[in-house]
Amino acid sequence: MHEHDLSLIGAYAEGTATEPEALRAQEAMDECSVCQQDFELQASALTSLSEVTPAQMTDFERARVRRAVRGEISATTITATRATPSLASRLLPRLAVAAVGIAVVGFVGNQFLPNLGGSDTAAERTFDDAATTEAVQEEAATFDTTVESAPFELAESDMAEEGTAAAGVESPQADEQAEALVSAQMSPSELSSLMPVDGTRLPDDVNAEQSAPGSLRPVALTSSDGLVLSVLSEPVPFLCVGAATEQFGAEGSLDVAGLGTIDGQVVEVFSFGGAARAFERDTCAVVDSDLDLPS
Amino acid sequence: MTASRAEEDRHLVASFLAGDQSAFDSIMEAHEDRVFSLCLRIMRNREHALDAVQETFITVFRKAHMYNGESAFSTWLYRVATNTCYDQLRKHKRRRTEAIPEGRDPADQHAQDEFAAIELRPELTSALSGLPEEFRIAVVLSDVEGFPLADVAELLDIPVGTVKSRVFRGRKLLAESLRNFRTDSERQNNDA
Repeated sequence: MHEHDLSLIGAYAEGTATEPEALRAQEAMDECSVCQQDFELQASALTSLSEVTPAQMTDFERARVRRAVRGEISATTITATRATPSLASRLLPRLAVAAVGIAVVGFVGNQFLPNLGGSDTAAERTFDDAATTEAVQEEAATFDTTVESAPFELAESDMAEEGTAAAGVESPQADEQAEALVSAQMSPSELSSLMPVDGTRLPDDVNAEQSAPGSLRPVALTSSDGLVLSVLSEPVPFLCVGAATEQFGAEGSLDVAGLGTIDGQVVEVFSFGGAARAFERDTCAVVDSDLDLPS
Repeated sequence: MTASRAEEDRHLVASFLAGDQSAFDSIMEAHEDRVFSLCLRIMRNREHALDAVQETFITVFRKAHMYNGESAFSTWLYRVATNTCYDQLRKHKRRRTEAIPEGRDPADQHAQDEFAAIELRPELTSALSGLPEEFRIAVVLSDVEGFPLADVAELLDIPVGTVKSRVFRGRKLLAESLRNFRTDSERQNNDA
């Protein structure tokens, strides 16, 4: 009775055994029916597995994965772009005001108080301050340029424009829109924590610019008071097109209405004719099958 | 993995880390099918495999700087893919009672049948699926994806001896399962 060595038999079957190992395997098989059977099973499995051809994605699947990855990458980088230059853009106006103030004080000092002494020093200081301000502005500009040309910041040119726009907005409303833009390109978990809208119905006065799901062009849902509910751009993948198509039963006339949240869940909203349904983004389960959509 | 592919990968990773976005696209294009194949055989579900591929490349994008160059980039990449699949399998086990995602595109004919693009005989699909997970993954990596045992050991973070044991035992179970399947079909044919 010998100890069955499956590793030895396996290596022999696949042809990776050394010469001494091969001899031992042969001896074992000659003397032991269990080892002989093990060898046959190993050889049989190897023959069967050799018939397996590598699995491949379909073109649709490949495109979907690439779009999703790029979308996620863009979301990360745009968020960073949005957050970083805002510091510089907040500082610049204050520095400019300070520089103007100092220049005015210096000018007044020079013109009206020539004999009080120290004017040269004041003028010099003003010049120095202005120069410092210029240096800061230059530095900030350099900083901005660095941020805008940062690698992997944006995957596509249209995204680049949106990202730059998001970084450059100044008005509160535009700021909100930019924030929503950024939010719309975040991952679902980030999105759910940032999206400002959390209702069971889309507002009646929403102005929806819709598009067919095949193209997934940018979609904006904007209420009349200017609040951007969601701004979607191409890299944001819609994961529930298939489910929506099945639900509505009419591919081609289905429209992407937008992305939002319902009770904290991130949902994709699709419309068909006058009806709209929300699908939970993670599972594509219907969350709301009777949404009001603006005509 | 050929030496030229490995060299090209090394170059692409360096370019990517230096700021060349297109290098990441090239990395993805070069490896996405093999990553998918690996994920599909581990996950056994196209939708889940696609999710895993997506997650793998996002992780690679974010953590490429952690690749230390000691092993081939592809080995590191497939290890990320394997770990991603394991994570997702764990998540799916926790959520087993939930509904199956309906996100499959009906227009994508291959996606109708999750095993269609695997091109396996039904009995082989069934036999592979029936293997215990640890054996199945070892067999898939070694005998289907063609990784050397040392690479499988690195991918799974286990000793080479353990890989060998899993592969050989997995093959044995697979062959037994296939034999039983054939016996059953012959019996059914005779009965008919």
